[in-house]
Amino acid sequence: MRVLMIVPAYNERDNIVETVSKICACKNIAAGVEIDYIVINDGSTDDTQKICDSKNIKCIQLMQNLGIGGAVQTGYMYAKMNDYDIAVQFDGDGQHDISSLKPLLAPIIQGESDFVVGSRFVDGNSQFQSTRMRRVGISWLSKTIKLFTGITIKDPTSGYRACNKKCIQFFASNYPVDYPEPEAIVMLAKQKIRMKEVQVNMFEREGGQSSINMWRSVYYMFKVTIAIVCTAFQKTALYEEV
Amino acid sequence: MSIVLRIELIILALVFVTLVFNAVNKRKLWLQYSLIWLLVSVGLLVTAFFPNILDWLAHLMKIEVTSNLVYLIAIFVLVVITFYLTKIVSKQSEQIKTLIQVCSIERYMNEYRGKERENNDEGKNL
Repeated sequence: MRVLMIVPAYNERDNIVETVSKICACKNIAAGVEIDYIVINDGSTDDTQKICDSKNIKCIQLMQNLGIGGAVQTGYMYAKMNDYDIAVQFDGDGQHDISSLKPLLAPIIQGESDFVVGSRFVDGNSQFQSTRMRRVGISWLSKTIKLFTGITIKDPTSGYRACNKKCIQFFASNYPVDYPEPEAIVMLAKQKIRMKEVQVNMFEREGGQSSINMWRSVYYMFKVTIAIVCTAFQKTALYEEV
Repeated sequence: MSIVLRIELIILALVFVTLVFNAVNKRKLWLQYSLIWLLVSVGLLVTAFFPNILDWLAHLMKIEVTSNLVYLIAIFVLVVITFYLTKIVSKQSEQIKTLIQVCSIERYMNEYRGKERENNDEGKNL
C-alpha cells in the first residue's frame, strides 16, 4: 500500500525541514506499507520554497495562495493522479506527532474505516490539549456535528487525518475552502463513509504563528457552524459519485 | 409625470442601451450578462411611456407616495444584481482555484520528471 503524507505549509521555514525528515525517518509502519510525502507550499512569502529546493524536498509550489483548504485539496488531487491508496494530512508546523501515524493508519489498512480522524480528546493522552476557550469551541462544533449528522467526533478541528482511496477521490473534487476540517467531516458523513476517531499525540507549535488568532475565532465559530448546518441539508446528488 | 421628465427617462434609457450594446460588441461584456442590464433599460422605457402603471402599483401595494415605490424597486433590483454578481464571483473563484491547483501540480510533475531524466542520463554516462 502506498501512503501519501500531504504536508500543507505556509511560511514554515522554521519547521518544514524537521517535519519532512521525521516523515522520511518513519519506516516499518506495517508490512507492505510505503510512506511517501508531498509538501504543498501555499504561496509562502518567506523562503520556504528555497529551503525545500536546496534540501531536495518534494514540494508543489502553488502559484497563488489558496488557503489551507485549497492547499490540502491539491494534495488529494496529487494523490488521485498518482494512484495512492491512502492519504494522510500532516501539518508542516510540527504540531503532529509522527509516532501516532501507526494507530491512525491501522483502521484503514485493516479495511475497517474509510476515514480516520486523529483526536486529542479520545482518552486525553495528548501532550497538547489547546487552551480552555478553544476546547469550549471544539466541543460546540463536535456537538453541532453530532446533532446534524449523528456522528461523534470529539476533535473535529484536528488536521491530522487519514483516508483511503474512496475519500481521496471525493476530496479531489469536493473540498471546503477556509477552515475546512469540520466541514469536510460533515461532507463525508453525507456520503455514508465509515469514520473513526483515534487518539493521537500533538505538540504545541514549535515555531511560526497559528492561522487562527483570537479575533478570527468568533468568525471561525460562526462560519463553521453555518457550514455544518448548510452541508447537513445539502443534497448529496450535487457531488460526483465516488 | 411631466413630459420633460418622461423625455429625460427615455434619453437615459437609450444612452444606457447604447452603452450596453457597445460593451458587448467590444467584447468587454458577455452577452449573457448584458441581459439583466437591458431589462433595466426596458423598465425605464416602460415607466417613461406608461407612468400610470407606477401610480396604480403604488396604490395596490398601499404605498402612499409613488416615489417610495420607485426607490423600493430600485433597491430591490440592485440587491438582486449584487447577489447575482457574488454568485458569479464564487463560481469564478472555484474555477480559478482548480486552475491554480492543476497548473501547480503539472509544473511540479514536469520538473520532477526532468530531474529524474537528468539522474538517468548521469547514470548512463557513468
